[in-house]
Amino acid sequence: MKTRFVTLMVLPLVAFMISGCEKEKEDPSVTLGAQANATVPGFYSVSLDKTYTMSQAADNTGVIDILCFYEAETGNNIALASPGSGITGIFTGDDMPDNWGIKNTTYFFQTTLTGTQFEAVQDGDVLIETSFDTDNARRKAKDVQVGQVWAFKTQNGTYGLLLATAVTQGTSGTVTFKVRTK
Amino acid sequence: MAKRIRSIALLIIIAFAGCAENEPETTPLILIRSGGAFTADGSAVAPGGALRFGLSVSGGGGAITNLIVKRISDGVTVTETDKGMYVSYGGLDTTLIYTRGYSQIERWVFSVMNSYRDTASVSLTVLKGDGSAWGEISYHPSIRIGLQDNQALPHFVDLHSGSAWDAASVTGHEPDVDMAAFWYLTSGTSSPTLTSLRYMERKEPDDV
Repeated sequence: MKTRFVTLMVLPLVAFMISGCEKEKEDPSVTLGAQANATVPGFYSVSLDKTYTMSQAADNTGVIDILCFYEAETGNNIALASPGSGITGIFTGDDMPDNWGIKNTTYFFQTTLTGTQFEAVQDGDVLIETSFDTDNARRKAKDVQVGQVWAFKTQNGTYGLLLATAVTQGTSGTVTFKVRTK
Repeated sequence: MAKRIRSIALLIIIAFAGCAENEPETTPLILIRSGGAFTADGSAVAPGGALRFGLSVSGGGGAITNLIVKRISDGVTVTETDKGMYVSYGGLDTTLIYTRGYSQIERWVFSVMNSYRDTASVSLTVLKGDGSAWGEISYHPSIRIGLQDNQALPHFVDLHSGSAWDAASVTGHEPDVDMAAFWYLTSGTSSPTLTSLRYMERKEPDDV
């Protein structure tokens, strides 16, 4: 009888504690694969916060803002660009961005922000926009390194900051980053 | 029965204690903007010159509640701005304009606080530039003008050129006139007064 009482009391309380306690705030990351990565999609829609394989991206060209590629010879290494960046000789096949009807262009600018400063930035902060230097922005974020914070502006005018948190070099490599947008 | 009640009370306390809401760790962020429109760290500005500071602020998870700007020159700290606010979304982007003082080095400190009373600061230094941005000093060794009934001396002065005119000769120079003199009694006290024409226009007849 006593055991049953304790069980009846403890179980609901444990359930209450687990469900009632506030969850840790999630801070999801985006991982993109380079051109030969068969498992990690390499195309990203900022507005939808969604990744796509190249074939999926070819069917959704209007929403693709960022892609990942690897090119050692030019020093690009693991780099971020966009369908409108004019990247050639990297992707192959009918679905490659060269053949797309809509090629959005995203511009990138490497900031001096630290990872800690990035974490302080909230979605919607005007600082995201002011961190983007239009005059010095480029169509590629070359040789992305862990800890770098890049400001970007998409074709539709969305500003963003991304913090690179992991990079694996190679044509099958990946880059992982966190994003804040305005 | 009493044991059960104690057990229930204890479990409830444990349950609520486990869910105690911790105050979030927030870190506001304040950045000084760069670019030609803004005064850069280490730049030299002549006394009297304009200092333009662009600030981008993020509350870091809390609302921005306070912005403080301090000027430290010759060991003296002056609070130039201490502004309360409540910016809960979007952060703050603002340009503040001040005037460079006369000290050799000015250090400017910008601090922000959020609704969790977490703070962040950033600073920059502005050196003293050559010359003066106030403009050249016009020096006129001696200008003699008369009060309103003086028929011998002129009454209206151009402080830039040092020229003075009487009522007849001032025609055509009205835009250049900066100063005139008059005399009146105020509470029985003799009061020779230097003034500008705009001020004289606004005086009531009884005051003159």
